[in-house]
Amino acid sequence: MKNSIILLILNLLTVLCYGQVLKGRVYDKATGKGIAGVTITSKSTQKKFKAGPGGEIEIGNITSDSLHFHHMGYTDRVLFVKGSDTNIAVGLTAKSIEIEEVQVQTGYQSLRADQLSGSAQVLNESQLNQNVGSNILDRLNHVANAVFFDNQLQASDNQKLNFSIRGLSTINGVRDPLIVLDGFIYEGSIQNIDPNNIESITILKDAAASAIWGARAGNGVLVIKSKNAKVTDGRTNVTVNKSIQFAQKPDLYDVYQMPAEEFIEIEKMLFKNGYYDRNIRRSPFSALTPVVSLLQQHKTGKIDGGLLDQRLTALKNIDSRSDYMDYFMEYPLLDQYALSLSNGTEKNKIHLAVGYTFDKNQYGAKNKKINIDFNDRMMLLPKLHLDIGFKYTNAKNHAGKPAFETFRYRNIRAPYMDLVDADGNGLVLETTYDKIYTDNYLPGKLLSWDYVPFEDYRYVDNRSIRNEYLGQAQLSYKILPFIDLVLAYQIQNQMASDNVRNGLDSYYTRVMINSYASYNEVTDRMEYPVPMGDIVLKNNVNIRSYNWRGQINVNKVWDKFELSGIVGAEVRESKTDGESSTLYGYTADPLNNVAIDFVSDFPIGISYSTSIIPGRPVLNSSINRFVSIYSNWNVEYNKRLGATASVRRDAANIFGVAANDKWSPFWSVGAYLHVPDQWIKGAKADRLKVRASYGVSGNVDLRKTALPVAESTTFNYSPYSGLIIAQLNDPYLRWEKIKTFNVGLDLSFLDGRIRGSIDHYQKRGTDLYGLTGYDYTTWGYQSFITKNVASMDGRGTDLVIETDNIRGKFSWSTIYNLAWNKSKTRTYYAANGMNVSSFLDIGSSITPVPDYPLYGIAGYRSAGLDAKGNPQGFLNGVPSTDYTAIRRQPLDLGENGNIIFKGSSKPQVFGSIINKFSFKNWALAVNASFYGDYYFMKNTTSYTQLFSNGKAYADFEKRWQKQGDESHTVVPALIYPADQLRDSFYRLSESNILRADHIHLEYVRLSYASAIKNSAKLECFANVSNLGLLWVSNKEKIDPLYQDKVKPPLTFTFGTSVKF
Amino acid sequence: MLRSRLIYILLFSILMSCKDYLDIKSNSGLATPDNFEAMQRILDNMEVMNISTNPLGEASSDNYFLTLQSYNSLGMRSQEAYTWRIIDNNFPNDWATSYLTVYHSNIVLDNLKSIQINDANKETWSQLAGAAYFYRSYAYLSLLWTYAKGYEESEKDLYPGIVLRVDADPYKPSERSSIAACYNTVIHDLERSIPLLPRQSEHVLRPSKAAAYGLLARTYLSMRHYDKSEIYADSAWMISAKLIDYNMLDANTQFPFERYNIETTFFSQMSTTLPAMNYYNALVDTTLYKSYNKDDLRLKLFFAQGSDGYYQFKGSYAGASDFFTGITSAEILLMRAESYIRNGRIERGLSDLNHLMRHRYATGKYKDLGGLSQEDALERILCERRKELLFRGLRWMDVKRLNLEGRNIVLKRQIPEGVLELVPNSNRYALPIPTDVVDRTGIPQNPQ
Repeated sequence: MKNSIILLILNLLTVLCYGQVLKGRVYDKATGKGIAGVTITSKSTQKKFKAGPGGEIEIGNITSDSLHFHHMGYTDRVLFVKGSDTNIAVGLTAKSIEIEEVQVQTGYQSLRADQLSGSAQVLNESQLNQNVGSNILDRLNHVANAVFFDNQLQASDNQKLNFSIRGLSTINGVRDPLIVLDGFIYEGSIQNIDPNNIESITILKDAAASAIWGARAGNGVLVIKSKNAKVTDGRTNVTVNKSIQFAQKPDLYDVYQMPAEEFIEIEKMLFKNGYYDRNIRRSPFSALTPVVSLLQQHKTGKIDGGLLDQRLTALKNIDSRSDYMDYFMEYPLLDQYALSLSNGTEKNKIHLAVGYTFDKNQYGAKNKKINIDFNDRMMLLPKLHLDIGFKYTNAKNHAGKPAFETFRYRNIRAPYMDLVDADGNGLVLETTYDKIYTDNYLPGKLLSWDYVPFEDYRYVDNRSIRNEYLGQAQLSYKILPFIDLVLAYQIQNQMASDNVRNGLDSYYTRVMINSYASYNEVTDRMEYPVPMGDIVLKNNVNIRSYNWRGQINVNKVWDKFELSGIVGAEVRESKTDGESSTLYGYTADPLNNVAIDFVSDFPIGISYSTSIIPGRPVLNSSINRFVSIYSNWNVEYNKRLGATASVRRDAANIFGVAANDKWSPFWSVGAYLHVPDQWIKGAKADRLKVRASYGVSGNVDLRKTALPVAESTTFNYSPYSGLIIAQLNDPYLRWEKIKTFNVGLDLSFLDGRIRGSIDHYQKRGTDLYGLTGYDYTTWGYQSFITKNVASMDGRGTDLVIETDNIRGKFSWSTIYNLAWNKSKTRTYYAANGMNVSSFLDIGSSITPVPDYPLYGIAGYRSAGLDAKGNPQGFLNGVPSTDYTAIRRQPLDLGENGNIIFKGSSKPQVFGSIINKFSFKNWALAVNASFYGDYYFMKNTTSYTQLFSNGKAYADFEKRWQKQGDESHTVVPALIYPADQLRDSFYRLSESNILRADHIHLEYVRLSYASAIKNSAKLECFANVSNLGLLWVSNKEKIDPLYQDKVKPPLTFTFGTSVKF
Repeated sequence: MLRSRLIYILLFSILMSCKDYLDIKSNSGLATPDNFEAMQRILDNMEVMNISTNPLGEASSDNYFLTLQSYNSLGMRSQEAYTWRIIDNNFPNDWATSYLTVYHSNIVLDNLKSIQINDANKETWSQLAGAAYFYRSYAYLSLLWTYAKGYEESEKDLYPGIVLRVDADPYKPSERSSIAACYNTVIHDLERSIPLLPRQSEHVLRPSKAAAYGLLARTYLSMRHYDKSEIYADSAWMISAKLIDYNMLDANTQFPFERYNIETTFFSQMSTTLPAMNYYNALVDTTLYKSYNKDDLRLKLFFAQGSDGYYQFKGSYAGASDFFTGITSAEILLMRAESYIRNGRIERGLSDLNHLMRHRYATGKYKDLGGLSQEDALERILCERRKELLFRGLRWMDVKRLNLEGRNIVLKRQIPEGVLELVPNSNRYALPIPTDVVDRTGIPQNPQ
């Protein structure tokens, strides 16, 4: 009522004093109802008006102008009005898709999705909560598009994380994508981040999106944004989250183990043939398996035949897995708590979050983590804002019991290891030394040599602690209405310290003390170079970094043009210091340790060898500095046509002088078009955006340096220590370049029933680190050096489409998340002309052969078994068992010889399909993942390995045993002596390379959400994950992800979240 | 737009001037060789500097032979080396190990050039420079003896020698210099090193004046400039004259000689033992074995009974099966003796020889030599030289220089296909340069 009177008066006044008043109404085209609160901006004066509660418009002082109508949930509209207009009716179309409203975080700025010419995917809180677990990266698995998690990888300096975005972009360089947290590169441990406090993750996939990050963006960028306060009404919002996760015990019976009876028969056969004689003679102190030890005792007359048979029969009935699962394995548990408070007003937006995570794994190892996150956005003056943020993480880890795979007799894993007796007491496992031998070695003068797995871990205290502090401050000042000046600073410090205390009663310590101990005949005393007391191994790593940034943000709107951009510069330093040392003779009370001689070579009596005492303190330190300037621009015409450009220039202390002086920046350009309504109406499309981009980003290996660097060595026969120049001076060494071309389509059909995006990209990596031959007269240390000489190509298609199959009270929607990716080496200079024979292996490492995929598998053509059960290959087109000749052939003939290249060993198409059902307050999500177009190598039994390590695989049961078997099996007969070349040939045979396509059921998630009184919200969920294999293409039904590995167990997670 | 571009350029120029900020080493554990301590440690790298004598020459010589069975058990590359039919000799090889020594010597010399000499650092500077010149010369000499024809005064400018690397710059292309230029460089560097080196060094792993004189004597001996070799052998003997009396040694041990014994003036060793010369494969040439007198203690100290009545060599001064190639006072004495005889001072030469022989024969069993003609004395000294300095990496060079005098030493190999002979002064005496080096640099290959 009050409003109307005021309006009336103003109306009259304006009519009297100024000019025309424009009236009207803004309404929803579909329903005809007025839309409240629509923002109307006058392009000429930049003044903003708001529509009334019923959609009424009243704008005074109207001249010819263009008015921009905007409201959440509706498509923006621009209307031209003439000075003479008095009444307008503006209809707005409801948007079923929120894509334009999504904010894409690049780390340097926040862009609207519709301003993007590149390819990026934003995952919001709800999507990140679909998966469970305490590691934020794992939440992306099967939910993010074109992100592949590889569980077959071994961590190395080049690859600390196990995922890739859009496949590989490098051969020898660093493979990890860049992680950015709240605007700055994150160098800490990913496990520090509390998933409960993350608002969104943006994946920057192509050059237009990621070139702004320059020399480290070549593998894609992951931008993580923490939660902060949003509401501007002064109320304090509280959120409480609790979730608990249980799992079954991982099942050791997943992995094939040869039955004890068969294993013992093989040992008896080997013993009879004298296989163990040499070892027993040469190293009588070495542990033997109980069977071999018994056989030896019987042979030397220490036990009779009756006792031998009795003991062997007892062993036949033991399965080591049962003791382990009963006495060692625990039920994994994960418990998470999170509390957050946020209060937002115009002047002050504060957010405080506290989280606690407790994690116990199947070995009983415990992990406790505390997270504290605080941020505050303050308006000091109308034009001056100050943001401060502080994060603290404290993680403590206490190791648990030893893994089953660590139990062995020397290097042999036998199926009959007895770990615990019938009364629950731990039994001795002869893991290194033969008990009979040690019992008689310096009897009475040494500590016990016995290893009792069931007891030993209690004497080892293995702890690690990690503390991370992260502080940020940002000052922004509006110099002009369209220019902001921003100054930002971040400091980070992570201290990680590992401490393993091997008590005096632990096996490790007793063996160390015993090994170095010697009996001095002159003094009739024992001498202990390793003194009595605990042995403590310490390792500390400290990572500190700081980052200064100055940036200017421009946002200007004209008549039909909108320009936004940033120009900035930053300086970054990251320093890592590490130290490790071992303390001997340690006691805690009184606190003491004994000085050790780390230099002398001591005799190790029990094994007739010599050794220095390990654990001399070692230090290392490295520092990286970057100076960069960057700029990103976006210009849009008529809210329809847009163009983008970005550029970045990096200089670093690791680059060569010549590289640093060169002007070769990273850049990208892009364009997009929101196809006008009229054109797409015919296709029943709601909206269609076409975009294309091209750009160059980089990949730098921080371990490489352009200086000549020397490494230390010492020598057995010299009193001096030496240095060798192990790396050549290369002033031209620089970063790798990745050029990406991307074209994409964002679409929505049938009123939003089908919506999503498709991208196709081609990338080329050039100046990749590769080995190249050089004139080694100049140096001589190696015949190849690393230079920027290699190149590779990658291409693929990403598809994310969501369909609303049924709408209404009961709804059903499906998300199709697909990625195709193929990569191949283009050029690579290497020794001996690497060709397809380099792929004769399991395909787990990159093999750079021009025109072939980076990961691939090849195998020998196989002709089955011959009449005696020997595997046959081809030699000059004829089946042959001359394994030496078969091996020699591929090097000359490649695929024209007797090998065949099967295909990629990493999936070339992968993704997931998520079906969501909802009814009233309930929702059910089912996620199935698939991996296709690749191969894997089946694990096969090698008889040489079986005899020396006891390792066999399931194919052993199917081996050739009698004449005629060759018609239905390809597994070779067991022969003695084993033939290494025969085993190796069989392992690499084509018949063992299987197609790896498969579908897994990832999780089923049931949730209930409702509002409770006073605008409070409650959400509960239950998630079952690791549901196993749904379909696999290989006939042997092997799961390629978990071949001969214990599968992750069925896991149940329950959680609630209350917001009020 | 223009304003932002200006800002951009301004920012860039400010930041690019922060070169000092970026001038920091990225990894503190990796040392850069710009200080004396680092340089000393580079020269003390035993494997690179001392254990780098080329084994190919010795493997191609006649101090040993292989039974047919041993020959058949060898790989292709070893069989080729044994029969002077090397085809590729690609990395890893002794070319690379010797040039690794050259590179490190050059790194030290380059860095020394940028350090100002003053009274405080003069001694350290000199010792480092002297040692670096010595090591480089040693490597060049080893390469010349392996990969170039024997030095012939009339042809020295006609035939290519080896690649001379004047500094550590890896971007300078490699070229083969003439034999004359190469030997001149070796001589010049050694002469330069003499005033810089200490008379005797702290340890025989490190060079000294005695070692430099000894190496110069070796150089001139291989060039057949016997007047010069006499002068330098004499200078070396003045400093390093201790001989081991072999009567004091125990012949029953596996390796009777101790590493770094009193006769060692400078210690060096072959970079590797090629499979053909492996302790069990390489049997001592029967003719050579028979040339030792029954009272010669070296029979028992140098040789161990092998299979089939043949003998294996156990007399390395490395105290193991590795082949010692360093300079000993015995070698110096032999070089002086040979030079005396060739220069007409026969009695002096024989006196030197007698002195040495008294340390090699059972006490009282050696009859001094005297009153021989020059030719007889020379034959005698050459024979004793061979018996003393076998498996020391010197035979290949000796055969080359002796054949240039017309001594007609023909090397023979017995293999399944028959008997192979190496004709005196054949092109094959300059062993083929590694194919991968020839391919990558375009330097001329040695004709075979």
